Amino acid sequence: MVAAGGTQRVPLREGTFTIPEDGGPPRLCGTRCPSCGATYAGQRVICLGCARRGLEPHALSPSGTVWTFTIVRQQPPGSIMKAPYPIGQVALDDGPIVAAAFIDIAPEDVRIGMPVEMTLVPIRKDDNGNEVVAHAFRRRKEAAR
Amino acid sequence: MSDGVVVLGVGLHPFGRFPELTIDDLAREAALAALDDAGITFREIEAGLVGRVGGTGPPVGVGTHLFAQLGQHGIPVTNVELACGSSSRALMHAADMIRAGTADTAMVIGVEKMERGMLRVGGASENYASLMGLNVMPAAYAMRAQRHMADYGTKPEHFAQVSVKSHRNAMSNPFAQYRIAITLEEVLNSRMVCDPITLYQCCPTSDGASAVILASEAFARTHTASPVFMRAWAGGSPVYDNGREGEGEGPTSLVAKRAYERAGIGPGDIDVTQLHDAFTPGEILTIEDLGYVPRGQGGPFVFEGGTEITGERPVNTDGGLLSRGHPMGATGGAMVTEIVRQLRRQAGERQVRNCRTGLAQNAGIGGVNVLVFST
Ligand SMILES: [Zn+2]
Repeated sequence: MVAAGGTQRVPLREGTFTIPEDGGPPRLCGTRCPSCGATYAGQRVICLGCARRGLEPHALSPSGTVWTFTIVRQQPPGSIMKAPYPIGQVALDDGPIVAAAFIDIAPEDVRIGMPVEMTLVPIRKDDNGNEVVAHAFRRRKEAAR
Repeated sequence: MSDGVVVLGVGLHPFGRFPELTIDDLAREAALAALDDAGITFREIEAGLVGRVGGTGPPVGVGTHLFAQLGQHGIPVTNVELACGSSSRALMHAADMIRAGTADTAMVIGVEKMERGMLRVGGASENYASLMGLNVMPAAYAMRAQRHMADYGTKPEHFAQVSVKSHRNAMSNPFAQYRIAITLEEVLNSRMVCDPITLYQCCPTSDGASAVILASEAFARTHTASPVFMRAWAGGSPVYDNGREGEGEGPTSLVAKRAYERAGIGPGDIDVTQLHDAFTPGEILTIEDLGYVPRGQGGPFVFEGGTEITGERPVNTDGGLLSRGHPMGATGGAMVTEIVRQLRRQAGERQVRNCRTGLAQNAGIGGVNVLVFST
């Protein structure tokens, strides 16, 4: 996808999420069982529910709600986040609960049950001038959808 | 039970910071203390197991290295790694050997020398979790605590009270790292680390060692008239729950149920408990998982003194991970050491009255163990 300035946006780690060409929201890459319909975050080969071998790729829902959270008060080395900042777990609308960095949510505002959606944050430029991006969650903007 | 497994000896090296000592020094002192406690020499040990996570010392073959300093007479030595639950898992395997008849005695050494600072999961390389500041160790406990607060109304002072009690208990434990009293206000007003967990609700990084000698009942009867039995044990690893990371240390409730069934008892029969309180929510969540109180009532139960030495359900009588200290590989053996001292009525000021059955719950990233002991 072309970002402002004509550069490409590339995921921090290939295969973590997709950036749809049509301008839709980014989605985490998951897997789904064709037999029983169970949905997983990340790449699984064997279904935990029915033991089927061979799951299919599945783009996870970009929206969900805050399952739980905490506020990190001590700056960890090597992070782009500036303490204090909230982190948590998000229950995606299609089931899986994933670890979540929050962007544009003040520490004192984060709540369990808060509607959130996927977004991308710039990390750095790579050697080809592309913008390396990582995923995070922000407060859901219902009106924009 | 003529085929019982007996805890014949226990020993510790004090927990704390010992920059001048090596893991060899720590392990040797604990091992010799356990041999003296058992009244046997190293020649009578038929199997060795070592629980240790990492840090300083040899990266490979640490078990053989440590046991070789006590004696070298060809016994099998096995390394067991289950993060913070390493030495309790090693004890389970040692007990299995004795019950199976492949050894009459076995010694489990747990040892660790830890790096200073916050426990972190994973490396410092540019990976997603470290870039986004997600791999901060207290966060997993803090997020479970936040969920508990939202679901059941548990309050920050409930968690803080765990630390007040642990510090008080550790004051009469000469092997504890922190032997100072601390007030509820001091705990709540210490620096916030990950809401609701403040600094004084986090276990320290520690150096230390534990040693536990198990023996068959037949062997033990020739050395003690009042044996403490390791009566039942069960271990587990996490059960998938929609990808939730909060349960990464494994299903304590499921494992406890198995241990109770194997011991032929219920949660109401446990007189004294050592459990995994790396951070204060550990005690409140775990007494619920162990079935001591209904789900959601752990906070008020602790706050009202239910887990004090004089309470209905004494927990972490030696100060727990919070105050005794938490040299990861040594922790399980230290829990068992305290249970055995309580069951032998050797706990001094910390002694729980009418104490016949004890339980240790020791968790690490990747698994959890529940061990039941009785006189
Ligand atoms: Zn399936």
